[in-house]
Amino acid sequence: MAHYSHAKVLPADLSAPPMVKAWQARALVVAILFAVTAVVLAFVGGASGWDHLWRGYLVGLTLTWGFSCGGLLMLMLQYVTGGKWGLLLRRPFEAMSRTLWLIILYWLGLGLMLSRLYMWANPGLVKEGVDKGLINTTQFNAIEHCLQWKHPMLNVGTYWVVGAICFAIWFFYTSRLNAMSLQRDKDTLAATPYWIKKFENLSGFGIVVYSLTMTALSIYWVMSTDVTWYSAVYGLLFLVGQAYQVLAFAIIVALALSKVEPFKTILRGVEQYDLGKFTFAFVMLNMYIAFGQFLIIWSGNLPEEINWYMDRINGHWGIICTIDFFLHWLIPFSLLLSRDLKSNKTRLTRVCQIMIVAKAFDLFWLVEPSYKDAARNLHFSWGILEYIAVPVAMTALWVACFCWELQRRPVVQVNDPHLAEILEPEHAVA
Amino acid sequence: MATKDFTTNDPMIDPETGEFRVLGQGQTFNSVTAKISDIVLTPHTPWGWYGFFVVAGSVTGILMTAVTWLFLKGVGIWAITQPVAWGFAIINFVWWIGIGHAGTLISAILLLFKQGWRNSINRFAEAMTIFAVVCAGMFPLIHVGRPWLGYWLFPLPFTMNVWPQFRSPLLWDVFAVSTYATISVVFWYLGMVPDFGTLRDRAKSPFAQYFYGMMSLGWRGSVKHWMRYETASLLLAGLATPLVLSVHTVISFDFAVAVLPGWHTTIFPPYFVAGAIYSGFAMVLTLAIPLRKFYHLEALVTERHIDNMGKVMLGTGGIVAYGYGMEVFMSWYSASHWEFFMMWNRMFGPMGWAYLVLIFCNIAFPLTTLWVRKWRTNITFMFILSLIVNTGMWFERFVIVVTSLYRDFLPSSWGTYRATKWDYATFFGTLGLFTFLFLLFVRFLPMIPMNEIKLMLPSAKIKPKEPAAAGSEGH
Amino acid sequence: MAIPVEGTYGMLAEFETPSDLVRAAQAAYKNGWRRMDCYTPYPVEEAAEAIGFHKNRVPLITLIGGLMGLVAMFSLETWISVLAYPVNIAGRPLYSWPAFVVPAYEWTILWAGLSACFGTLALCGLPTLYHPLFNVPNFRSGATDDKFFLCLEATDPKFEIVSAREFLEEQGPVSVVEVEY
Repeated sequence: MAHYSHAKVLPADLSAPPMVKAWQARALVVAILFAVTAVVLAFVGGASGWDHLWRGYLVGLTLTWGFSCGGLLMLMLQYVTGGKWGLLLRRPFEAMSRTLWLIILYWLGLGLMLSRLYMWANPGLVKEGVDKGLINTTQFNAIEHCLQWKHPMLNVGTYWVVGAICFAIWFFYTSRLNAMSLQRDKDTLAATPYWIKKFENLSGFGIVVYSLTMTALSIYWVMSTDVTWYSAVYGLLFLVGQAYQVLAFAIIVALALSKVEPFKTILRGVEQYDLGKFTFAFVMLNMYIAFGQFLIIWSGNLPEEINWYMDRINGHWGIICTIDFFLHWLIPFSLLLSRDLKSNKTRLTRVCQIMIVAKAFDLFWLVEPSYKDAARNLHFSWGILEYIAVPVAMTALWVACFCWELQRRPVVQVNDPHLAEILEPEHAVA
Repeated sequence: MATKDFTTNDPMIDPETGEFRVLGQGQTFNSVTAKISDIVLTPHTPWGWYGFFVVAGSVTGILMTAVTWLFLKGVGIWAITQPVAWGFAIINFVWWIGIGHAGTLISAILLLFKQGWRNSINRFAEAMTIFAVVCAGMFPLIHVGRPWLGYWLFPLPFTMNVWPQFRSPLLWDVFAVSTYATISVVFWYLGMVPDFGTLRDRAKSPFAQYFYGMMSLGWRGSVKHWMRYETASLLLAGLATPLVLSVHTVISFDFAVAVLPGWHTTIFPPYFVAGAIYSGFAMVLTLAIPLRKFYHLEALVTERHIDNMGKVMLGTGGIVAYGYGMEVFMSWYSASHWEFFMMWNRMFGPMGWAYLVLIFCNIAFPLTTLWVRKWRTNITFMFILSLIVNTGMWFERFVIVVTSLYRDFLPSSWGTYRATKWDYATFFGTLGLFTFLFLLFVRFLPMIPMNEIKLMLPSAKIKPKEPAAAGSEGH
Repeated sequence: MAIPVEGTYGMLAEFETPSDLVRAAQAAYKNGWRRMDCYTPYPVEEAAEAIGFHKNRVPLITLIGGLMGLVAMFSLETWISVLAYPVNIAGRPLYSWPAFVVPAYEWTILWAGLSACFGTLALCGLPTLYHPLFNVPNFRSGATDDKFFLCLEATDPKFEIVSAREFLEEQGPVSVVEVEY
């Protein structure tokens, strides 16, 4: 009568299952297909097509940067907070962070496009806008004033220096954390407290440094596409947005991996549910910061700030902005509210996929209206499709790179105090 | 610093993680009940309690005097004037309500994140929330000038046919703070119902039996009730979490929605919330450290709690520091003359000293020392630190309110601000009121949730029956 | 609902540990008992599951309450600002939905929270200041402290004083007591 199921045993083989290799191959094919499409679209679209290709590239860079460095952020966060989710997602996070080299390549690539993307890198863009009648005198004066005032920060030289410093710091943290993690695996279980503290100390300060460096690059890359606008919460919004997309991605990976060993053993219903809840928290937090920024600027109605929103709401942008609201918040929020959904693997995966699409969509909404030909006036052209082609190609290449990194070490860490708990049966039955 | 060959004889340290244990060892269900309920049910109130009670009561008397004088004379007895039309009242309001937020954070957010260590401190942290909200809520009411017309704040059908206008953050405040007070009381009371049952069953005096019996609503510990109760607790936690964020966000809107440099900043919502939690945890430490000493609760509120609270303060303090940094940076990046002047004036103007105090108390001192584990678990040090952070967070609000106002756009309207003795009397009076209410709480209500502590004990784990019937094999 | 056996509420067994209680509850459920309840000093989820209590309606009540609060406040704000008392405030539109979001949000939480609290109490039938179980001395002294109880209720069709007592005594309790009204 007293039936009692014993604790499970960790499988002997903890390496990534063969299907990860298949994902990698598939992602590469997608990357190539979409890259070719992007180039074709650019030729079809002419000058505006090429301009949109660069802008799509900026979206792709920001998105993959969010996955890679966001992975580093979440890796540090789980070391600081501790808990079971860290044990589950540590190796996927590590693999994400190790894709940093790809982001560095993407970043170097962006350097070639600065003059078509940023007014501060090419004052010719301002003149072009004035000539085409896209920039009126008031706007011109504001832009000129801002370009002059912000010149110490917004210039090509400083751009490279700041970027190099940021990437050097991230490279340091990525390599340190990844190397130490393997050392911890090799060490004895008795030394775990030592490692926990060591990771905690490194990561705690790491998060501080990361927040600052990430803010700097989010301003350079995205905010400065509109040189006149400013918002103090911008960096934090990006930080939370990175956590949002990284959690969604990590859950997709973990759930897909849980079809086979070793994740089949370690991913229990309880932890899956908790991950769903955690994601829900970031969905809320993301919306909270975005709405707070909107409400403050809407209420203030100052000419320095409100135009940024006007550019993104007027014209057909209202539709885009509404869809963004649905995808980004309303749909994940309503779905993740349900207890049953968080326990259902297929449906949870769907929600996470929507979240990632939403993130890309949101970047489109952030970037495109900054350019005067699209501000307050969304119009369809072949070029607009670049926002699908380029980010998909870049993200697919990133996924391939992630899969490759994921295969390079066991997907479960063994020396962890939570391991015993995670192997226990879900409901103790007496 | 951590060393690799890790051995310890300290029974309070868990060898698996090297952390302090959440609970001292050797606790049983009965010892937990006895320890906590005896504080309440004892017929011998400690003399120290009376001592504090008298002091706190007298300070509350000062508050009563100040408020009575205010009602007689009007808000002119305070230092508020043009251009600084908001003074101590709003500073104290924000400070108090911020302190309250840590209580909700501990009881709600940490519950959702399954942080078991919160169980020892959540009850009195919630009590702290409610008393802090009482102190906070008083300020806007007495600041309106004619408090007897306070009900005008609510959308009630008057004969005048006048309605409140919903585009003002001050009205949002009414709803945010009243909701916060209500939900906090509900959450707190519902959490105490099972413990009232325990007190009812253990009480010897008929009056106590009657009183706790009524308060317990006839709780009898049915598991069906427990399951609904657990669901309700989780739901209330899930509701209180966004609520606590929204409350301080709405308070930050009081400032940010205006177009004044120094107030109109998009980072205000998250940075206010983080600041609130930061000061709230400081206040929890200020209260918990003497309490555990006075009532010998070292086995229930351990170094682990102190350490963890230190870490939370480090995190939220970090966000606050980030907020300060972004404010300064954006005052330059905005390319706006007014923003830039405001920040220069805040740092180097005649009230620059306040900014310095704030930077020292909130950033320079705590955010450097809290990194060190040894200091984080040093009880005396943490107590002093908590006092410093509380001071610093008060100055933060002072800086935000006063230094943004006293030198606005037109130099001809510049002024200054110097608080009067009635400002100080009201502020210190609320400290007395807070302590007074808190003392009543620790004396008459269960300050640590017994049922939640029992849930964490090793004996609460459901164990399988030994295979060879009734444990003839031993282990 | 069946009329209770005159004078008897049920049969109450006391256990020393939660594990004993859960085992006994499982045995009782397997034995065909349905109207029964466990009494514990802290929530024992396994015991609730053992007696077949899996889901409750508190979340639904909360959701409905929350939606009612949302609709109520948002409508009130819109009606006041657009129809009842239209005033130009800093040039903002009469229908200023971004501003209305905030109080509507607060009321969602307020109503949801109150619904959760009062819904729970209503579902539990609290307050109930008198209950037959309080007549049992060992229940009074232990149920909210450190003892664990299983009560087979007299409303169960299987209930019969002798067999219920016998069944409970087989489960290794500390004591078995008949509960009188």
